[in-house]
Amino acid sequence: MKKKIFISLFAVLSLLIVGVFIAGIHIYKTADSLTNIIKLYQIDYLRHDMIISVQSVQSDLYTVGTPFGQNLDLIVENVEKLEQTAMKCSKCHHTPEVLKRIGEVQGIVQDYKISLSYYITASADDVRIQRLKTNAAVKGQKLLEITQDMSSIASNKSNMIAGEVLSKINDAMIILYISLSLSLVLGVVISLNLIRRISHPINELVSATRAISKGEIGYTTSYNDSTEFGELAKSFNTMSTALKDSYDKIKESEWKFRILSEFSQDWEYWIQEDRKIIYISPSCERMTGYSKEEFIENPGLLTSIVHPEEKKLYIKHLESFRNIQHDALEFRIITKNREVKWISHVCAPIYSDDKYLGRRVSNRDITEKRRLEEQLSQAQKMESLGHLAGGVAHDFNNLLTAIMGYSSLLKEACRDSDPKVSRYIQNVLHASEKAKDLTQSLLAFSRKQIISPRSVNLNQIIRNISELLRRLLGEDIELRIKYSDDGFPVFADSNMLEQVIINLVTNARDAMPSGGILSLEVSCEIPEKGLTEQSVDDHCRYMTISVSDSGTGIDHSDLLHIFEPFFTTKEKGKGTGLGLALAYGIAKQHNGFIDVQTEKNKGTTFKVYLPVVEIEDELISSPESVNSETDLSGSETILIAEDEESVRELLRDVLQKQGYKVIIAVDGNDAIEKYNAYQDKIDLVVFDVIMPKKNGKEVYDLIKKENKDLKAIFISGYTKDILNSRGVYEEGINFISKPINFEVFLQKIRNILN
Amino acid sequence: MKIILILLIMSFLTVHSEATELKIGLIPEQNVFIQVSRYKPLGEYIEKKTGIKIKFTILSRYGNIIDHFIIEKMDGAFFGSFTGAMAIEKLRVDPIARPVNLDGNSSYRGYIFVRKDSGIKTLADMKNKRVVFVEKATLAGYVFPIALFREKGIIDIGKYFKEYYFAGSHDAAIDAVLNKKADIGCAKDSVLDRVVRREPGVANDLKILFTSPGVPSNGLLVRKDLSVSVRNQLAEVLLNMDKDGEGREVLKKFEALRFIPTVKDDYKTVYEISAKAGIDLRTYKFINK
Repeated sequence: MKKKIFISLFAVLSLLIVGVFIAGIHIYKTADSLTNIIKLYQIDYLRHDMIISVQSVQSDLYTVGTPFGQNLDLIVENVEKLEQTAMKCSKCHHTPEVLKRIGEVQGIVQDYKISLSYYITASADDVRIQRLKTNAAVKGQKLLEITQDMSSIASNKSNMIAGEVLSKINDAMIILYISLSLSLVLGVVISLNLIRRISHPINELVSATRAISKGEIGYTTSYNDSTEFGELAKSFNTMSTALKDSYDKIKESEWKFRILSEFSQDWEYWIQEDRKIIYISPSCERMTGYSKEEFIENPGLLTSIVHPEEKKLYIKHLESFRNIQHDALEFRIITKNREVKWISHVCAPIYSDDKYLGRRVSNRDITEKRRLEEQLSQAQKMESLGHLAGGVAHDFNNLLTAIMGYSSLLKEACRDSDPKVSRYIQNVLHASEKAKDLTQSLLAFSRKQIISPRSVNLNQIIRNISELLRRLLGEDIELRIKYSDDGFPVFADSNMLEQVIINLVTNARDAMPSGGILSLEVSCEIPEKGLTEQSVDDHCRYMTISVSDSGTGIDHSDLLHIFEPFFTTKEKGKGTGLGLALAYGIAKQHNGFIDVQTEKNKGTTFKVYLPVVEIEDELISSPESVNSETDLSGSETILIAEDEESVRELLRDVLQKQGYKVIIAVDGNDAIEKYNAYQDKIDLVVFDVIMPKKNGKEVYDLIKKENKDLKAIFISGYTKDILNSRGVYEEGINFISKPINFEVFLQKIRNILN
Repeated sequence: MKIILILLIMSFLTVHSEATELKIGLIPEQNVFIQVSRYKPLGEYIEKKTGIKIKFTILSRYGNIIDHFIIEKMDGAFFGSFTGAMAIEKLRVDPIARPVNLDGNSSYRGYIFVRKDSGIKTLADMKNKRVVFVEKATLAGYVFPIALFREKGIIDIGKYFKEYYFAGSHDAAIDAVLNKKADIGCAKDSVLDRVVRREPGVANDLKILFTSPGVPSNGLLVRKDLSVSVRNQLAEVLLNMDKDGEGREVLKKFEALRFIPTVKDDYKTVYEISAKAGIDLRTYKFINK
């Protein structure tokens, strides 16, 4: 193309140059003629000057010697001018004819000078002076005439040359016009051709660029030739292909990013300082219910969904928008469907080459975590309460053992005394029994009571007590029972479970003072994750007992405390506050748990989860039974190792009353010493399991090493589980829990000794 | 008194102030136009060397140079030998320098000449002939012939000769003899030499009958009160111009070899010839008739 442009321009230029050259020749010739005219006019000026000079000198000549005469210096000056003019004339002409004339003039000038000098310097003889003057004047006149004649001839010649010049100028103008016109026409033709050749590839390229800008990445043009435009088209195609490769890579990268981003469980976004969101992950919709578009279109949505209680905190957080530190805070949001969720918010500034671009934010739904934390906290609190209750119950059992034991002895001793005294003692025993129940409940809550688990069927347990439950509910409450088709067994103490069901049903009844429906349902479930702090795998099935009422529901604030011992919303005297605590403890003791779902004014559902077992009818322990016909008295020697004095004294009294000989030891070491001292006499040792210095088990093991046939009974206010966990209990040993049922105690002694 | 003092100071300042222009007079020794063109390069040269503008003023007659020198307040003039001596006496001017002619002489002589075809060979042959003088104030063109005539006993030239008149310049006198407008001519040798150089045929047409003793060529004399520095500058330029190329070129146009220093004593011969002619230079007054 460059070559074509050059050739075209060269053609136009050549034509123009030829035209200008021809015109130039004419102009040159014309200029030559003009120069001649100018010279002629200059000569005419010279002739004119010469005429003036001659006339001046002539004037001087006629005034010499008169008062009007010029001084000689001026005359000389005028004559010099005259001569110089004459000399100039000779320089302008070359034609012999003219040169001859000029020579003639110059000769006359010289003669004139001589005549003038003679005349001027003549100082005597007036006639002679007059003659010299006339002579000079005649020569001056002749000079004047010749000069005027020459001027006339030159003027004619000038006019003639001027005519020729005008004709040549006219010719030159015509040639110039023709040349320019031809150049113009050729230029237009070439320009149109070039425009067509240039505009076509440019249009092609423009179309290609438009196609790319419309999204046709990788678009290539079909234009192809050997010009620079062809090269440009090739380069464009290469560029477009490279652009497509880059675009594909970016697209792929974007796709990968999107795939990851869309999978992200966290809700992430990029927010600018003007609160405009430039990116937000799709997970926002899953977390908040609001779509990406809603967040992008409404930047204020972020703030508006924050829970009112945390809104102030969140707005304050936004104030430090440019803070370089990573900020983390937790707050609640209200989702589109009015659900409250806890959010863990982490954000950090984004910089690119020191330019602040906003903040990146990652929001994580921690509702479940929060719930678990609350659950854990509650569980820990319940555990602490359990320990407390268990400890109290243990000590209380020791006291009750003494109270009940001595009351029994007193009752026996006063059998024949005032009946009023017997009644008093009976009241003490009655109160002690209630206290015993109370401690049993506390132990049940603290999971420290002795249970007798075996493989049981929940459907059966419900059936057993269904009539009892109907009576318990009364006529204004409808009991609906639904049994499970999958009657998988659970490993549980049926009495305990009955107690749990009764407690839950009682609570449900109390929640429906105006009557309602109470649903009892047995089912088999796999609990949802997070429902319990216990680890639950997919294969772990639970049998559940659901107790649902249509009552008033439980306040959220109360919900956190319902399983705490002695927490009650009932009127004073209508509840102990131990019903749900006992149910909770029993469920826990059976490796289960209780879930509560409540809705204000709609009702509450308590669901007891108990793990399914595969072994049926396995009996670990059976309740102690007393053979009323056995003689409980004896004469053997019994060593009692008990740190609690009241219990120790009671045991001694009870045993001595039955004829036994009793040796007392106050702690573990004392027990060893007493046994060593009286081992030949001692037939049986009663060990309190938990004692100072050495516990009962340790003392037993030491003595057992030397006396393989040692007979022993262990007593404790703690359950077997606790003792087992402390390593002081092992299977097969004789164990009696406090408070001691002395009939059972004496029976066991006799069984061992016999 | 104060006015007198101021005038004296102004006069002193006028006299002694450094000149920026010098007005130099020229005598019509030959054709006035030729004379001016001959002196013009010399003036320009002095002007260039000294920085002082030189303005020449030519006189139509020899004699009135003394009056014009005063009237036109000339600073100096290239006087002829007679007018020079007369100016020394009347104007108290000082000679500075004079040219050495192309023949090596710094003096010229007066000729009394005739046409060869006139038949005049002696003074006696001149009786009743026409005589053309140059001017009454030229040594060669008038004073020398008068001194000779007087010495030969011709006191009244009006009676001895048929006619006599004054041509005004030496070349005009030569021209008058050549053109037979006079039979006897008087002129200075240097002008005749120039005419012969221009027109060599003239030498064959004329015959010199009498020659005067040498007198100083036309030298530069300046007014007495011209500042010493200016006259020194003028003297230095003129006396040294033959030592540089440009100066020599000017001398060539001036038809001289160099300038030499000139003093009053060099005019001694002039005084003697004048005396023979009966002319008292201090009182000499003349009218060309």
